[in-house]
Amino acid sequence: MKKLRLSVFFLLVLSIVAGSADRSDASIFPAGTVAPLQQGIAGESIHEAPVVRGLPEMSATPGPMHVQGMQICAAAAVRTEEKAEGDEEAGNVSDPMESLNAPEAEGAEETDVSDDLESDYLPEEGEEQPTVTISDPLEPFNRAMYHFNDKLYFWLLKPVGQAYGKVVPEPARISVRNFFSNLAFPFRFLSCLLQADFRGVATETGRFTVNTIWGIGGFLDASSSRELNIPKQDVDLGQTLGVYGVGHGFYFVWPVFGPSSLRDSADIVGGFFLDPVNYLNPWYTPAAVHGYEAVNETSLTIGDYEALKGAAIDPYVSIRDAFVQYRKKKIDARKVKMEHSGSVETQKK
Amino acid sequence: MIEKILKFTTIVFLILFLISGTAAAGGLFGPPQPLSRKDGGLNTAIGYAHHENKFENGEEYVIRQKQIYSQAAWGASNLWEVYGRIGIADLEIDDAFRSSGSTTSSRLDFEDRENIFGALGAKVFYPFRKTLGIGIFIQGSYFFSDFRDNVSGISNGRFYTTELKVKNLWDIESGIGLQAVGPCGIKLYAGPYVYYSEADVSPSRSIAGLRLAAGEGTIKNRREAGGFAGILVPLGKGFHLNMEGRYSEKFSAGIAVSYTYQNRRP
Repeated sequence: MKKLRLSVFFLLVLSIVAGSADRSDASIFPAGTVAPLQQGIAGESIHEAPVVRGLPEMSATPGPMHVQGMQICAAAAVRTEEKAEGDEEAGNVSDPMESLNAPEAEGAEETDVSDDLESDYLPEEGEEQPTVTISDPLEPFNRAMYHFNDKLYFWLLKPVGQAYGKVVPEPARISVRNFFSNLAFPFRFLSCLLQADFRGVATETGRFTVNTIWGIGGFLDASSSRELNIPKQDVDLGQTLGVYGVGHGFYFVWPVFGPSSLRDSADIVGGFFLDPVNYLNPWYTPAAVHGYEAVNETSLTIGDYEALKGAAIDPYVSIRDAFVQYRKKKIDARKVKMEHSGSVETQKK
Repeated sequence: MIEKILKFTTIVFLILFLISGTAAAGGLFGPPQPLSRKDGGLNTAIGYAHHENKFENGEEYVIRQKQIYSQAAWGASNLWEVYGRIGIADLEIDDAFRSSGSTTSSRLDFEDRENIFGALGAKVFYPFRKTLGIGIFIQGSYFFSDFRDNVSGISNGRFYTTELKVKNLWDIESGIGLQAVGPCGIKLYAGPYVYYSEADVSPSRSIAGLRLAAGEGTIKNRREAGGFAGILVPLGKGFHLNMEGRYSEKFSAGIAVSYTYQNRRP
């Protein structure tokens, strides 16, 4: 009986982790899955800059989640080295970042916008750097949750992910990731719709259609081929609220879900209703599926969280600051895109 | 010379399309030349086929299927390819419950909804000119579950109801195709093929006087050979449209849209 309870608990934990992993970037660095930081955050000072010991070694073939972790690490390294050694060192670090752009930024048709978004803002000498902060009134609780998530990753997800990764070859694991990413289409579709990004809506629909039909149910990502080049929209519900001017609220670390904020917690609620897996029967099937998804994702991103954690004196603060800046960057990028498309429409008229 | 061959191929293609049809359950044969990229790679397709044929077990039955399938293929050098398909297809058998003597039946035809089938195939191509080539293929398919239908009526003055199962429906097909490449990369192909297909029939209760439900047995195709012809049109960006017709005793036709993956190079 105890074993059964334990198993159910683990399955639930895994399901929640996985359930949030693909739908939203806002709440995904729970147990080790580090929230993506789209761009280098050089130039943006934070109130408690973590000390970074070094840049983790870059993998030759990074996957999306792998990329996310490295982005956050690279960003942290850029930030620190800028302070310590100047722009030259920071430039070295930014090279690998060029190949780690978010899928949305890879779209050829959006070159103009993405060029603006991708260029790291480097303040001139003497210029005051913008400060990005978030209120953290629940810090003791958040720190406790951070440690809980940390242990969850190191004690459960990582060992299981490592064993799984040894048995299942990487192409197969990437196919599984593609499948779940394709399944999260309703989430991205609705987010684009709520942002009135109708081009994004069309892109997501086309992407879902192509990948479902010619990608064998989504296991293959035909849309990302050079010929088709239908980029995945980097959107979520928290970002949508941010685009409409809703502030962070306060910082909150969800058990299992990881870093989030009052606003970005909308992803958790939205994800529950928009993830088709949650509608499977019997009741434990979604938990099992999400658990598998979490293990698969972890197997592809092992090392990212460790690199981030090892590079900072206080990983809690590092992750919090990186999270806030990442979310800000993501929302700003979206605003710029919308403004750009709006101005194009106006010019057409 | 090439023009003559093209004309000949076009005529054969049109004749086969206008007169003919047929086939079995595994989907389109496709062009003899594989779609995978020259240096090896994957292509996928979605297809729809309407299939008709004549089966027999003492008496003749026309069977009809509508198939939808998804295909994944791997090949290289534009010379060989292996592929797998998974799809669904329904089944109709005309006059399966036609009664005779004192037996009556509530309906005539056997009908059941879609069941899942799988197919495997391979093809090899040999180009003997820049625009001409010949290929050989083999493919087989199998339905993983039984088709079922119920019928009721009166036999020898007593009411009856019985369920007829069509089990283990499978087929194997092999053929040779001649292919010509026309303008804009359009490929025309045609050729003969041989095939064999069969299924077991099993009524839950044997009813004398009901054709297929009179007892357990096996139905199989009446003829073993036919012809096929098709056209493959490049749609751009790696997509191709394939239309094909087959004929042995009845006409069958299908359409598929395929996508060829581009190999990513570091």
